[in-house]
Amino acid sequence: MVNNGETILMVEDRPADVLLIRRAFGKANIRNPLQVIGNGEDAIAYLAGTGAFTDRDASPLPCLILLDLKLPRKSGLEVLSWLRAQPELKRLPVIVLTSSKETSDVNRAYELGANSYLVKPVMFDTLLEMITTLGLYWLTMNESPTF
Amino acid sequence: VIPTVSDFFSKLFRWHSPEDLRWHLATLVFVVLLPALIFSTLVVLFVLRLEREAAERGVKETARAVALSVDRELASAISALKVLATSDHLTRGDFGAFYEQAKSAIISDGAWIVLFDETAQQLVNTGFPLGSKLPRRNNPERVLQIIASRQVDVSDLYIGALTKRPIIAVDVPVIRDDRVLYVLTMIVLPNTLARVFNERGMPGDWIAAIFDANGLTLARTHNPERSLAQPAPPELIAKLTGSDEGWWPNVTRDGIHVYNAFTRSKLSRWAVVVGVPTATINAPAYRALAILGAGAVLVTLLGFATALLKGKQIARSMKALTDAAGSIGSGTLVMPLTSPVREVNEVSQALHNTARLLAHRLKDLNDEKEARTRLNEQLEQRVIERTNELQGSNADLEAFSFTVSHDLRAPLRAMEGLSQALLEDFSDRLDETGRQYAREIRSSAEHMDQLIQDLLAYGRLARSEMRLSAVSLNGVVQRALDQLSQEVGAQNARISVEQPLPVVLGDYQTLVQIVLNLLTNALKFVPSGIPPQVRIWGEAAGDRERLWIEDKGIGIAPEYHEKIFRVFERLHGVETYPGTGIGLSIVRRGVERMGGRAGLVSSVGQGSRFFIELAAAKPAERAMTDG
Repeated sequence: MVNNGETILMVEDRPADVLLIRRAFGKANIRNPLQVIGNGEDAIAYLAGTGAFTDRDASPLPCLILLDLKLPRKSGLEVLSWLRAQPELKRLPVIVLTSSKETSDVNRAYELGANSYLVKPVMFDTLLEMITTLGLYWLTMNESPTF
Repeated sequence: VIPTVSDFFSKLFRWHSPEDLRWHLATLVFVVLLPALIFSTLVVLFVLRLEREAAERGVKETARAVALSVDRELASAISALKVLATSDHLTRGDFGAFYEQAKSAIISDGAWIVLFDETAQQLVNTGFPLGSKLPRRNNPERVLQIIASRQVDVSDLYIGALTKRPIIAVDVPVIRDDRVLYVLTMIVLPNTLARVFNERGMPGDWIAAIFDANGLTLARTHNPERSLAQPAPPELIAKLTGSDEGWWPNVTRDGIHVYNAFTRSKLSRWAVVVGVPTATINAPAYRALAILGAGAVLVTLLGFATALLKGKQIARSMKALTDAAGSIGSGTLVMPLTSPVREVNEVSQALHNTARLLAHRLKDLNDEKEARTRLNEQLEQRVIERTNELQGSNADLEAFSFTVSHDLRAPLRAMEGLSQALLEDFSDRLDETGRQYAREIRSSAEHMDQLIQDLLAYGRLARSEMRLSAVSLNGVVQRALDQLSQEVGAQNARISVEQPLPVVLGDYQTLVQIVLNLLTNALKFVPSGIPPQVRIWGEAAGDRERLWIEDKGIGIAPEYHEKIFRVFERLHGVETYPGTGIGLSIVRRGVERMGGRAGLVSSVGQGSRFFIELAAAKPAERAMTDG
């Protein structure tokens, strides 16, 4: 079981994807709290602790962000760009988890400071494998930065 | 620099270096004047000769006339004496009466009559009173000679017995009864002869002289007193000796250069010599030559001056023409000139016309150029617009691809994932039909995902830039076989690669994709249960290389050979041979983008032989790849 007690923030607008990823997290036995935000603007508000997210107990700062690129209002790249410009947030590990395999998206994401880039597979088995590895790597092996 | 005459002639006959117009005109003047001058000189010389001959004739005639005058004087004296000789007073010996008679017969001053007896004793002398004591004659031998010859004679110069001066004697015999009784003589003073010169009215600068047979001077126009009885110069005597006439140049005793003409008197044998100063004879000649020379110089100067002046005028006109011609090139409009040379004006008019024509042409050209520039600008503008449009549609295509990859696959993920969740989490609540449906949803989703992936690959192949380099097909085939190792193993396939495989110009990744697709097909389309057999080899086709991939599969009917390369074209149901119908489209599109082509040889049941044909890599590039 993986659970270091820290929150994982998932920025994802598709309910089906949220459902599948949650299922994969469950199957991979990752028990960390999972916060889901459905659009770019809310993601920024959550991280900045503004608007509906001023209560850090209810919406704590995550140890890891799973970021989709295709999002309503503000794109994942815009969120990433904003995040890397925040002095107290810029070290947060961000994993881009998206459908796009386009080279331009991949390169742009790394340029803006993404720590990893994963493409959502169509096969659930592949997704499960990916999430399992992700949990092992980022939550267990990886040393998180301090704030 | 003033050209010397030799310069002039050497230039005249050597035309190598061009000379200016004035020089040519001067040459023309020279060439025209020279024969005229030579000819007129010849004419003048000829006329001078005639003149000189005329002068010679005139002088000779004068000499002859003087001689005739002398003869006439002597003849009249002889006539008078002959009349006296017949006097009765002499027959009777009455000398007193004779004296009176003789005195009246004296024809001029400076002459008197003397009567001699046979002993040369003077009997009567009209120069003295009758009865004076008279001497004997100084040259008594002449009296004897006259008595002997009975002929009239004129003496040379001798000194008179009474006068003691040089005198001439004209002697006539007095004959009675066939016997010479006396000699009657007229004594003449030589200076009376000078009258004949005056009679002729000779010009003052002419010199004339009369010499007796002994060469003593009887009379002379110049210095008559001093010259009297003087002997002639020996060279003159030499000229006079042995001839009756003559003409020669001479220098007188006074040092004057003369031409001499001489004639001998018939009666007395005296010589009349007339000398004309050379200067007098030559004066008209010199004058004519001087006038000719001055005229020649004047004409020549005038000619050359005119040549220079005209040359300058023409040269100025030419210069204006040259300037005009030069300025035509710069497109300036040339106005016609007004020059004194008509041809220059004509050329100038022609230049003016040419310039106008050129200006028109230039304007036309400029107009054309402007039109072309405008057209080019329009074309460029259109190209920019089209490019923008193309870039727009390219961007649209990108956006489309993004949408396809992103948005179309998202629902598939849901279908696939959730149908699997159904099968896993809720299988106990579904019967077999329900589970079959869920499985069908899942496999449909997987197939659609494959379709989308292939379409994206095809689209990328169309858009991406190809970087052609030397690629070893051996490496490409090995790479593709590596990726297919699982399928090869599963189907127990036999694959043979015949080395060496060619090196071609292509894009490595695209080539791997192409070979992979062809090999996949070769492994796929076989009758079920039979292990696939694939043979791979290379073949040169001119300057291109072919890669052949042959299978022993089900084969393709010829009518489908073109069709199978189109997108989504399939010959079999998915349940028989799974696939999306894009693999061969990628093969063809990829090969064509690398400048090659793809094709096949096949028939049903005979297996298929696919080939791709690409440009061969150059040896240098190949060496790099092999190294």
